[in-house]
Amino acid sequence: MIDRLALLAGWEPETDTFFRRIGPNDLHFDEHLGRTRPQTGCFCDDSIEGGMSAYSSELLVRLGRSPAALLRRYPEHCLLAMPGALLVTKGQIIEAVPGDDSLDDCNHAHVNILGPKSKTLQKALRRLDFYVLPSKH
Amino acid sequence: MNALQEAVQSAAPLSTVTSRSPHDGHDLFQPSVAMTVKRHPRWASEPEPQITVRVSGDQVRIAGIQGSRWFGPVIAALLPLLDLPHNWNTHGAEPVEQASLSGALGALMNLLHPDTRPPRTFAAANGGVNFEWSTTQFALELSVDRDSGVVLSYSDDEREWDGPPGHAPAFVEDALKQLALG
Repeated sequence: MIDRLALLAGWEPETDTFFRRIGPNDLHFDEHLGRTRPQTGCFCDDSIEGGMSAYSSELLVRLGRSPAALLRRYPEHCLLAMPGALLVTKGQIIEAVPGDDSLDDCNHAHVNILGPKSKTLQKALRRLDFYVLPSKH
Repeated sequence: MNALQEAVQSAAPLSTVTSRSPHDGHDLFQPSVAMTVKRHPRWASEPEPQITVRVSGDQVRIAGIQGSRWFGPVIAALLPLLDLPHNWNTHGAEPVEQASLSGALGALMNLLHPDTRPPRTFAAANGGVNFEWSTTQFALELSVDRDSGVVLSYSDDEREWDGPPGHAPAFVEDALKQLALG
């Protein structure tokens, strides 16, 4: 049983990093950037509660889990790391909301990123280049 | 009727059906669900793409497309997107809405020269559709979804622009033309 109050004590989204899974079909080579990046449509609101679904790096640490655990059931995916400072600067509000899979402790690190997903924000996110890859990569 | 048939049904008015299997037991292209697309005057002198569809039982196959460099690849990329289930991106994404697909085809017909290189075609996590091009000079995309409608988005080393395709500034229009040259 996770004590949510203890888990979230002192948590500051602005200084955190948030992981979002990116599927292999959503990556492509951008000739202008000169490297592979996610397509822009990855960065839309898709959570049931509203907002864009992601996972907190800090909360994963507090749960004793590694980011790679987020890929355990999705070995073809990678993780894109989104800085909380960037999201907050672009007008996003980050709320810690447990995921719907109570069997997986990682879901206690789940967050919803709320706010309009402008093209400016989407372009900033697609330019990020910090990924976590599953071991098979 | 499955998603594939519905998609081809929507696409049919864009083009000329040059072949129809004698085995189709129903009217595949009913006017009641057809999409009407008016081509932008700038492309009025260009030939309409012609699509050849073969129907056998429940199978619909696009047998050939002529007159457009991008139309066939876009159709081929769009159809599988209609079969994406809920949560296809593992974060709760909605399935692609057929209205987004129809709107996307209409927008592309308006926007693109027949010689435009095919875009990379993606589902968006909000049920929309996203088309992206990139060159060494710029990146360009067209997104279509229920909330934002049709948005054209451009970026290069110095400039960014987003907005309705009809309001695109000259440098974005130039980028569109370049996509038809290379």
